[in-house]
Amino acid sequence: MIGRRHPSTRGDTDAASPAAGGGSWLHSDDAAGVAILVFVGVVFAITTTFEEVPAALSQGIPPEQFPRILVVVIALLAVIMIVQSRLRREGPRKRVPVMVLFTACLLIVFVVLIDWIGMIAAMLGFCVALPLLWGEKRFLWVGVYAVLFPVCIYLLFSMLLGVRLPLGLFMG
Amino acid sequence: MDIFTTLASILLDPYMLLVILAGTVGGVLVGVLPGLSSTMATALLLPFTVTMEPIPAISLLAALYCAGTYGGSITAILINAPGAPPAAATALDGYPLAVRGEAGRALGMATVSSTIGGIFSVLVLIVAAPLLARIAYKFGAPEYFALALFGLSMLASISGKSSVKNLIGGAFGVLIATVGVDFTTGVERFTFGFPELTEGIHFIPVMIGLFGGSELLTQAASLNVIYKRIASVAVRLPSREDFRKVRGVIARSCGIGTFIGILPAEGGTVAAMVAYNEAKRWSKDKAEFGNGAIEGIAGPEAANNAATGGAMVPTLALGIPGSATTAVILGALMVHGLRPGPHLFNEQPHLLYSIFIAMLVANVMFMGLGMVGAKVFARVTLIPRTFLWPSVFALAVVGSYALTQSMLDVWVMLIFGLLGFLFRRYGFSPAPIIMGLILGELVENSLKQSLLIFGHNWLLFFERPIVVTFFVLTLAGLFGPFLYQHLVSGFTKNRGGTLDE
Repeated sequence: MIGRRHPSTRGDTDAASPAAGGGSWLHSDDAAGVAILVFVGVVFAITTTFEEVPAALSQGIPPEQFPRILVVVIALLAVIMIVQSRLRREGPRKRVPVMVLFTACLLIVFVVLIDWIGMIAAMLGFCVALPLLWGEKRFLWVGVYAVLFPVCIYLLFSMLLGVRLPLGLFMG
Repeated sequence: MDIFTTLASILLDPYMLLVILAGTVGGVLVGVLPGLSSTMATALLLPFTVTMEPIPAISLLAALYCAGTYGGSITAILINAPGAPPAAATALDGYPLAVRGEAGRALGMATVSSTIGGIFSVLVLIVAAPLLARIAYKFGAPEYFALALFGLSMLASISGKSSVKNLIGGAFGVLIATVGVDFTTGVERFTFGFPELTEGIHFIPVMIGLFGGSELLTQAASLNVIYKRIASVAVRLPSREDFRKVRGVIARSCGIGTFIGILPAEGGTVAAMVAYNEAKRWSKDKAEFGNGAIEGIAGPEAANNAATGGAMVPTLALGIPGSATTAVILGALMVHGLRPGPHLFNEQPHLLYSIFIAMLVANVMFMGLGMVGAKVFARVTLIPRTFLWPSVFALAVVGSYALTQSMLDVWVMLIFGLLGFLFRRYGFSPAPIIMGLILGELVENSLKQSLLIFGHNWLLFFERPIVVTFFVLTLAGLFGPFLYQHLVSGFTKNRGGTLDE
């Protein structure tokens, strides 16, 4: 396996190396541990909003108790994780390449668009956008792929399996 | 209907043979492609199997599982990038051997050892699963609680370096399983006003997101990597001399792989690593390892395929997944209205025999396909990632939607895809989350039932010998990896060596 630079990932990874000072605390296990502690805190708070159980049904474990046990277990493990990370003195990770963020945004846009323009049309757009975003230069191939793939999906799901794919607000 | 009748009925049924062949070819293909694993493929394929009858559906997934584990070895040998995680150890010696111009010999050894390992483990599965189910038939709620706890504790030993992270992942999975209506009180938990969530978060979109969505983002982070391919040559069967050299290794690795596969949560990757280490430890020519030792291919390949049958033992007999892929297969059984466990052996013997036979036939099929078509399969890696991964994600979207025809499932898939990328980035494997999600309901319900039986006296757990045994094993599973790490680091410090050595 050998490496080649992709234009969209070049600057980010280099600049973000710990040596270059780009890998911040946010990319360390400590940050992950703190995020987990915040998350379990929120989950615990939500468990306090569960409905009261009528007295006739309150013989067993109350509904909030089991999630709370899990919250405590996760919190303890997160603390152990933070301690372990400090003992190992591991440096922070490199920053996430911008390409990942763009790709993630594209995935979200794709799913949002399904509700608006329907599954097949959104898929067509996605099949054009992602290859181009990832640096594909064979435009004719992209075009052929973007048309053929959604058509195959439509034939397989709608015709063969009988799944009613969403048509979107406009088509529906 | 016994197993021989089932064997005959499957071999004489063109539809079933076609289904198993499709699973086998599909498995080898996804195994070959770096980034696509049999776990992801079974998760993606699961929604498509919903419309099928249970027997062909589960047989398809089982065949895909077996062949996917083997397929990873082809790219491990030819491009030094394991197509699937269980083939990582194979690359250590397979690629150097291919560089030396002996790719055909390496591929032949990988194919034969994989087949032997796979068939051995299926035979163990055929014998062990019904026996285990017979024992499990006597289990009550407390025993199931202790067993599920043991299964979760084994997550700690999937990878020694990130035991705590695996346990966090497992606990997080169990937490996700609490979403929905509490079965004893009817109180809604974490539903946030969504009526679709009252039945809980469906595990299939979660699986698809964690494995498929997160892998797509991982690929986006590594667009700068290209693979240098070794020109593939004709695959050849191992020579008599090679076979004499590796027969002990294969025999040992079959045992190691099957045993590790049977342990809940442990899968082919762990089995292959352990088998590689053992092959090296027992070898007379240790210096050859890492430079193209044929035993370094035979060991891990026999072990990772042996783990497939092994992993199916607890999955079918107890309803406790033996690996990440069997967790998906367990999910598939549930989607088809079947509850894996001892009762399945009484209620659906034909289904179980069909799974056994499908796995057996898949092992034979991938041997034939591997010997004849490894060259062709290796060419699959030429598919540009710019077209492959958009297709995978589009299938993930449609697959998530098709299950209940709800956009909420698509959003669940997407959210878990994004989360899965973050989890991976911080060293959290998706597999423990899936294990927790699958076992979550069993853990909570069996705990609640047990406490009702015991009148809320926790101490009564300790009056049941099977429960106590599982509790002891749970403690061993939780603390074993830490003790082992401590002992090994102490030992290597004293010897002045490194952990890797």
